[in-house]
Amino acid sequence: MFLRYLGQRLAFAGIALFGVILVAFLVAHMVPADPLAVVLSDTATKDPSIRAAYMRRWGLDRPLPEQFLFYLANVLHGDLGESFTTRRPVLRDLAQFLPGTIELSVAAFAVSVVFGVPLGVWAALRHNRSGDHAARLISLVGAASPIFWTGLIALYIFYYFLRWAPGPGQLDPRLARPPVVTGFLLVDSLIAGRVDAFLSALRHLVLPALVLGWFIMGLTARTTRSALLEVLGADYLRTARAKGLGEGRVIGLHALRNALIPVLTVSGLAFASLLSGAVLTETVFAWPGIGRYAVTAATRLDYPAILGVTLLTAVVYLAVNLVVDVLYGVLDPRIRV
Amino acid sequence: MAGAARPVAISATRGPTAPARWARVRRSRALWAGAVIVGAWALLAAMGPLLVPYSPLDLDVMSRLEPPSARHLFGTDEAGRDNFSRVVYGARVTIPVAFGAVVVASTFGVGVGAVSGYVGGRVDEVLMRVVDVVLAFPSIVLAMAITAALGPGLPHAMLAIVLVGWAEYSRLMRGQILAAKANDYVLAARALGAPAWRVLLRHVLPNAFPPAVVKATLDIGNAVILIAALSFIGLGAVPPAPEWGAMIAAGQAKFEYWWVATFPGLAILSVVLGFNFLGDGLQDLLNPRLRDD
Repeated sequence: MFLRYLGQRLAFAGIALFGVILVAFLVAHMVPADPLAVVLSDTATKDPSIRAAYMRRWGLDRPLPEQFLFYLANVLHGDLGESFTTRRPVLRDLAQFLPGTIELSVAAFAVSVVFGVPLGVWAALRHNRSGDHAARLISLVGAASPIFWTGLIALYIFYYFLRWAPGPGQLDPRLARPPVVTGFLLVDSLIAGRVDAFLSALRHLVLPALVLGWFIMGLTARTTRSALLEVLGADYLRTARAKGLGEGRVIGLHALRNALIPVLTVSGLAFASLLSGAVLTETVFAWPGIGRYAVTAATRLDYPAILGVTLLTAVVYLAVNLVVDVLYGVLDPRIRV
Repeated sequence: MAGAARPVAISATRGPTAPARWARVRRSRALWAGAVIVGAWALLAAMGPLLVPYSPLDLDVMSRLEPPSARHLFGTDEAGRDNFSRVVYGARVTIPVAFGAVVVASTFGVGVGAVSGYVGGRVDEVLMRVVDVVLAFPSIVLAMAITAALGPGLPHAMLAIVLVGWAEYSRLMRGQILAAKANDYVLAARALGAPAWRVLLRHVLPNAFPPAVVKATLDIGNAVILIAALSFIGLGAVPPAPEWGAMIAAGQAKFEYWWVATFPGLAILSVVLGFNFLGDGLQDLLNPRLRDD
């Protein structure tokens, strides 16, 4: 029964992966410019024999469906082409920049939970009073502000005026980067025993993580609020109160525990907004992640690079959803049918 | 405000009586706040040229990067252009594009979702797999890829938002149609021999529609942010067009000239909040059962 459910989910993910690669291929073919003009010099572009050789090398002389199979085979082998700007395989670029994005996203996710859950609890306990409305406004403003602007304003205030936070970047420019082991700067500086680099990296992480965390906090706070409201009237809470437990323990131990299950699932789904937000946060904070890599690529019309990021984010999203679906199946047998 | 009154007319034929509904409209603070903000921006966009003291494109090199003053309410940018005039003109650029993109995306998406949910079977299976694929891309990333491929410019940004945005409507609408199809009155209409298109148009769609209207209202705000984001990156509006995202980009890294980026950002924030309030208010009005309290 569970295996069948798992098989079905895997099949869906496989179909979606195929579709995602097809979309990336189609977008690449929307490019109106001559693709050879980007990689070849002016004189080489005009030489028919050189053109033909390059067309053959990339399969551009074949019919479109055949070109797609060519592309599909390459992608499945991990060959995403070579970036026009860095002149390196796109996959290597992505491997270099992904850890930065993961560090930022995990920190932002933590921020959204650490601030979002208490905010949601506070709102639920002040249901429909002014505290509830204020809490809603706080999360709404976070979600309604363009994140590249929130980031700038945060830099104005905390870096330029108050000088509490370091400027853009991932590390103090005066410090040498620790040798790359995992790619995660925080981890690598600990491995190298570089406390100075670790503290500097941590300080640089705070502001972008707060900005990105605020952006997705609304979802966490809103879900916590409605989930808590749902359980507040439950019999087991009345029992807990009847036993003489203090209100803090009733809410903290009994109500919140049951309310957190939907919060965790919704937070998993917030992953897509987290990725979208990370792209622009990285741009504002000069954060070396795949978002900034994608933006640089897009502005320089570096198609292999931007398609690489597009594919990677879609694949990550599909993988996260597959895991969430399977976890649902494990946690709730009713869903499997 | 037309935006607030229209859905009332749509749904006045069913549910609570018209007076009861009107009472709810009057009580809904979110609806009023949204209507006032969106209405004010619509008015600003329409009357912009009459209100602003300068042309948004007039260069005045003698007064570059001036702080806010009585002469230049929001200061000036690096070419000496009046920031206030540019923020007001920005409404004429961004809001119509966002509105247009959402109208096209929602119409197409609702159509696909309605067919998918109503026809079912293989058609449904295929359409929903396509929707899954589109939803797998983070919207900003796919929109960036599309505008990068087509070249910068607002028309391409608008097309990108449509291509990125329609799929959510299909999924939403399909669910609504499936739920509406199960109702007794639909069964009755079919039993009476009404043709499929008539059942769909007369009985299923009207009841499945309100959530799509709410989503479209909220989405105009999202589209404003997406357009601004694309312009911020340099893939949307082409300089020196007074687009809010492009104006924020111009103020980036100019920390001592905070006014350049701050005011266009506040404009975006207020427009998006306006559409959010309006959408929340419509939600309360159209689906009172969905209210989370």
